[in-house]
This record gives sequence, C-alpha cells and structure tokens, in this order.
Amino acid sequence: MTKPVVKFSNVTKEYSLFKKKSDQLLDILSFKRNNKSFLALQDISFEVDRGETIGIIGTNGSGKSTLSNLLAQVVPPSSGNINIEGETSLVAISAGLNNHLTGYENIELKCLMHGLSKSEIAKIAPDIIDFADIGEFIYQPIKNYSSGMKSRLGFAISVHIEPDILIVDEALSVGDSTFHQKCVDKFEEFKEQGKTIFFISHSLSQVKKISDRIIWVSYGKMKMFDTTAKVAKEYTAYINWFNELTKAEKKNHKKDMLATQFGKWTGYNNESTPQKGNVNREKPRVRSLIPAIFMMLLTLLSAASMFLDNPSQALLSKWNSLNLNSKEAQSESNVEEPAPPSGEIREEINQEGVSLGQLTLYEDRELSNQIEVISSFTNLYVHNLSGNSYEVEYQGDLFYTAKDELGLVDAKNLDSQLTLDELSNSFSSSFVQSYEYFFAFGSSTIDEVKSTLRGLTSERELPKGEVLLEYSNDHLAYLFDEEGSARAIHVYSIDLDSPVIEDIKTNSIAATDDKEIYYMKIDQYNVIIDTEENRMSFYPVRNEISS
Amino acid sequence: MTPALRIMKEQLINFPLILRLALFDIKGKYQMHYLGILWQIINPMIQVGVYWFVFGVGLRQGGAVGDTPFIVYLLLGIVPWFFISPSIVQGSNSIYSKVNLVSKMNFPVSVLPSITILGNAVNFAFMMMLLYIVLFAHGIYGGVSLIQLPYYLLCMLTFMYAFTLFSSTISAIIRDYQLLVQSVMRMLFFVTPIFWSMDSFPEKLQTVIKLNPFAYIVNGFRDTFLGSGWFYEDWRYMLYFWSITILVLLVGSILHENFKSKFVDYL
Repeated sequence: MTKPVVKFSNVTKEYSLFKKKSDQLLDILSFKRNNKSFLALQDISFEVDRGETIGIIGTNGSGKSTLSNLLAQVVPPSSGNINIEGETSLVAISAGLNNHLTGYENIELKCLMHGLSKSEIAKIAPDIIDFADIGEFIYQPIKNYSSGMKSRLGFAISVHIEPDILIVDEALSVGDSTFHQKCVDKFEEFKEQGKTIFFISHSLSQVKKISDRIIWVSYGKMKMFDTTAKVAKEYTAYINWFNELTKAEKKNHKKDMLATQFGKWTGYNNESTPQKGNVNREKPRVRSLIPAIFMMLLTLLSAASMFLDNPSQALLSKWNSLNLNSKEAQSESNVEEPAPPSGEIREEINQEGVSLGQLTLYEDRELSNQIEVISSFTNLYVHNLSGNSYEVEYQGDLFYTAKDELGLVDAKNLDSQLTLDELSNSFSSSFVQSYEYFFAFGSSTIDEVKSTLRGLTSERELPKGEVLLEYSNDHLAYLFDEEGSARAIHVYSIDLDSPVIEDIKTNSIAATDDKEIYYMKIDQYNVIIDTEENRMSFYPVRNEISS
Repeated sequence: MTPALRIMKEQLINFPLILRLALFDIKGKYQMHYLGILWQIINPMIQVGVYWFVFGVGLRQGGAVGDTPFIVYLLLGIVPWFFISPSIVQGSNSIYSKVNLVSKMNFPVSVLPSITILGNAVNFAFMMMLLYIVLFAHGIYGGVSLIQLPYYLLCMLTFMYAFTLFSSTISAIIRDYQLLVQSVMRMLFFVTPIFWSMDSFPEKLQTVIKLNPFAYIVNGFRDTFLGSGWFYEDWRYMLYFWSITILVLLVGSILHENFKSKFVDYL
C-alpha cells in the first residue's frame, strides 16, 4: 500500500470559551489555563490514499467545517498530527474573495495567494472564466454578483489552481443542476488524475453520488469511516431514528451529546505523544529573548547618552579635572616651600597691551587699592609681569592690573581678513542659522531687546552697572552698559574644534598670557574669544570706544 | 536574532508577491471612486492646505522657520508623516483584516504589514514628486545632502515594518490595541516636529522630543532636503534610533512567530 496522502492522527481541535474578554487575554499570557473549552473535534484519526474521493457527512454543528479547515490547513490542530502531502485547496462559499475587485482581478488575486506566477495565471484565467460561466460579469466588482455566481467563481478558481487535494465545503448547494453536473464531471477528471477530493455536505444524496468512502462526524467525534454504502446505511438509520424521537427526546439527546464536547481535553497530557510545537518551543524562546534584552539595554543606554551633552568629553573632562586637581595640589605644595614674594620675580615684557573687558587699575602690585576702571579695548603699555599682575603704563602713569584681563598685542596681526560670516562657522548648529537675526539687536537698547525677544532665561546686574540678559536656549546673552544700550553680544557653546578657531588664534591681535582669551577685530566688531568658557563676544565698534 | 532574520528573509523572498498584492490593494480601494487613484494626491493636498493655513498663515503669521519658508518646512515634515501614519495604523490592522483572505496557513502572514506599507508607498511617491516641485519653486535644490535620502528611506521603512509587524500581531489578538495605536498616532502628529521646530525648546526637552523615533525620520528628511546636517553627525541619536528599531523588530518577530499559527483562532 502506498503512503497515505492525508493522515490524521489523534487530531483534536479545541476552542477556548471565555466568559469575559479579559479571560482571553489572561489565557494568551498563560496566567490562567483552566477555562472552559469546546472540543469541536476529538481524537480524529484516519488515513486517505491518493485518488480517493472522501465524503464527510454529519448534522449541523458536528464539526464538519472544522474538519475541512483542518484539512485545508487554515486552522492548526490543538493537538495531534496532520500530515498532508501536496497542495490543498478549499472551496467554500465566497472564501477569500475581495468584494471591491472585479471577478477577473479576484482570479488574479486568489491565484497569487496560492503562489502562482503571472504567466501561469494568464494561462488558466480563460479556463476559470469559462468554467464559472458568468459572462460579461467577469469585469464587474464581485459585490454585484449573485450568490450563485460568487460560489461558482470561487469553485472555478479553486479547481483550476491544480491542487493535489481539493476540499469542497458545501459549495455546491448554491449552484443549479447544470453547474452541479459540471462540477461532478470535474471531480471525475480530478479522480482520473489521481487527485484526492474531500466532499463535505450534510446532504447524503450529494455525498453518496461522488464519494468512495464516507467519514461520518457526529458531535466532534468520528463515528464511522467506511465505504459509501455502509456509512450511508448507518447514517440514514441514525437520521430516521432521530427524526422519530419526540421533541423533548431530541432536545435531551442533543444536550447529552453536546455535554461530551465541553471540558478540557486531557487525553494526551499523561502520554508521551508529543504535543507538537509545545515541547521544543520553550528553549528557543529563551534563547531568542537574549538579543532582544541586549537591544533593550542598548536602547536605554543610547537614550541616556543623548541626555548627556557629550558623554565622551564629559568623561574626559572629568578625568582631566581629577588629574589637574592632583597636579595643582602637587604644585601648590611645591609652591609653598619657596614662597616667592610677589614683588621679586619679575618678567620683562615691554609690549603693547589692550584691555579685554573693563579693566580695573590698581595702585599696588597686590591689587588691593583700586584707582580707576578703563573701558574695553583701551591700549596700554605693559612693562613687566610679576606673579599675577602686570605693571602697565596708562596715560603716562604706572598702574598694576590683573593678568587675566589684559591681552598682549601681537603687532604683526593688526589687519584681520576674517569676517563675521566665517566666524559663524564655529557657532552651535542651532544658532548658526539665526545669528544674523540676533545680531541685529547689537545696537538696541535693553528695553527694545526685552520686548522683542522671547525666551529670556535670566537677567543679571554686573558689578560695574552693566546688565546681562541671557537667552541660554539660543546660546546667547546681551550685555548692556549702565545707560541701557547694548555693548556686546555673547555667543555661547562655541565649537572649539571648528577650523575657524585656529584662524582666529593665528590672526588675533592680542591674547592673554595663558592663551585663553583672544582678541581680534573684524568688520564692525571687536571680538573676544574666551576658549575657557566657550564664549565669543562681539562688541560693536562704537565711536566712543574706538580710541 | 533568528526569528527576525527569518522574517526579513520572508519579505525578500516574497517581494514579487508583496508588490502585486499591494497593487491589488490600491486597485480595490479606489475602484468605486470616479477620480480613482487621483484621490491619492487630492486627499493629502487638502490636508496640507489646511495645516498650512491654520499653522502657517494663522498661527505663525506666515513666518519662516529659520530661513526656510513655512510651507517648505511643513511639507518636509508632513509628507513623510502622511506615509508613516496611515501605514502604521493600517499596517497594525493588516493581519486582523486580511488573515481570512489569506485562508492558508503556509501563506507568509508576515508579509501582510509589508503589503500595507508598500500600498501606501505609492501615495508617498506621488507626494514626494509634489514636494520636489514646491522645493524647486522656492529655489531649494537640496544639493549633496540629497544622497542621504536612501538612508532615511531605509530608516523609515525598517522602522515602519518593525513596528507594524509588532503591532499587527498584538492587535490581531487584542483588539483594543488597534484603537490605542490610532490614538497614539494622532497624538504623535502633534508631538513630532512636523509643523513646529524643535529649536525653540530648551535642550533637555529637545532630547525628550527626539526620543520619538518618528522625530528622527522627520528631522532626517529636513536635513536631507535643506542640507542642514548629515546623518552620521549625531551618532548617538543614530545609535538610539537603530537600537530601538531592532528591538521592536526582534520583539515583534518573536511574538509573530509564536502566534503565527493561532491568528485564525483569535478572529
């Protein structure tokens, strides 16, 4: 005997019944497994060989359609094994037809779903149209079809896609006798080609006509599987017996039979029959979760890193500051021993200097007696440096001033070719697009700026009567003098890695001794670049300060 | 990784199938309309018009965003959004709505979201052409940075597929999820920088806005056409986007493979 084409072994199909929708959810999450269930099919086993035509018969609700769906592999079994050799095709009333598409498009669509190529479809389409016999309607949307046309089309498509196993589920009940005859002829043709047909119906007369053998399903169980004649006889007897019962008896019989279908299928839990899928699923599930967990960590990490301004630099600077601290601590301890009096070590400079902001001049080297404040960008002559103070000459008198507020002029660089546009390359990316707008306020008063610009984050009074308006979201601040007119625009978050910064350094007019602050002149602005604070300050050139 | 790889392979193998089924989808959708496929353009144009009027002319008084005219800025955000949003909403519903059409267990169910995405991509292609006409009219040509377009398209498609695979699986089982997706997408339209610019927010809040992966795509589109940045510049953001995409894809594939055979039972 050859290998069976269709082999069912102990197939059970169970539908869980839920009182509430939430029970279903719990079931999915496998928190709760003791739900009531309905056994649509219980323990079905049979084998079917090539070329057989099998009728499946049973009363309403006996599980015929579940069986046909299992055969067509539309639904998976709850337990047990189904082995099917070859392609199956299910013919059910209007199964898988799109109402909005025309008949012809539906043919294409359905064939595609069954994995046919375009050329194959073009080849069989005329046959299908011919078989379905719906004439001009083939180019009309399906929704205009009569139910007979629909099922004829569905049938025609299913039989023409050359399945190895054809499953016909009550589809012939809508066709008239001529179409029915056509189908029966087609079945004969199929049989001759050695194909297997399952014919599902509750009409015994139809089943009898074409089947070799009949499966009789009753309330989810396979009652009989034998030759047509034998099953037909038994089935007729059963129907007659049932019809002779009184109404109450019929009801009781149905109730009893249905009761057997409720409850949990436990038949195989204790046996070694593997419940396919369940056993070998656990392992890969755990293993496949590992990359997911890894990706989740990576996602969280990368999200967290976005909140840091610059993680690598943040780490580096932390490291550097740690190192620096220890170095400073060392140098401090070194310094303590010699403790040179600030007056003694003196470095001759003899160079032009320039004030990089408002510069305070002191009478003494210890910078304790303040004498006068001179405005930004005033030229002085620097004699020498000792400790943290310069000795400077201003308007003929000698003064002392703090080291970090004075720039030493590099005489060769008085003419700078840089423009504001070039400097803007170093601005932060969000500011670079809008800086022209903000620079337009370079000669406004404090009230004008306040009333026009939004997003003021802080307003600070500085010691020398100046006011600083900070717009930190825009990386910007305006500096106003005591009269309330704008003196400078501070641009923060300068990109110090920008190539233009190097140009600035080499083109600067003056720089502080420690090379932290640079000063340069460009068209209309005096520019101070503070590399320590990442700040670039633009002082519009005004007549009163360009001394 | 294997479930995800298997599913991606399925997409590649079945690409001709996806393509043709997507075409059927579009055909079916517009069969009953006199203007047919023209609605693919008319519909979004009306919406763009409304948003441009309300947000551009009404609220912003026609002000530009930086030096970009508002209509250009809006289009660059809304064109990808009009692709993303319906794809996500319909894609999340794709398994539920099509699984009975499939009617065969060995049909690769995982291509259903792809079909929806591809179906919407046709509309997107039309909109892109329209977008480019508007850009040209405003003298914005994109320049070199246009070569990042394939990259951002890849980002968009991968994320959309990952997300719809995940959510179509969930929503086939838990129907409430579909409503959730709809609401969230409606909300995301306002939370994603589509008709407003991120620059006006404090930096920390900007970062929070950026956590939304759609913001990455929309911002990327702007960078591509306006030439305002390269995708590798903000590598941390790039890493975040791809790790969340792959995470969603992995989880989606695991769920999908687990429930693949049971979809019919849940309908």
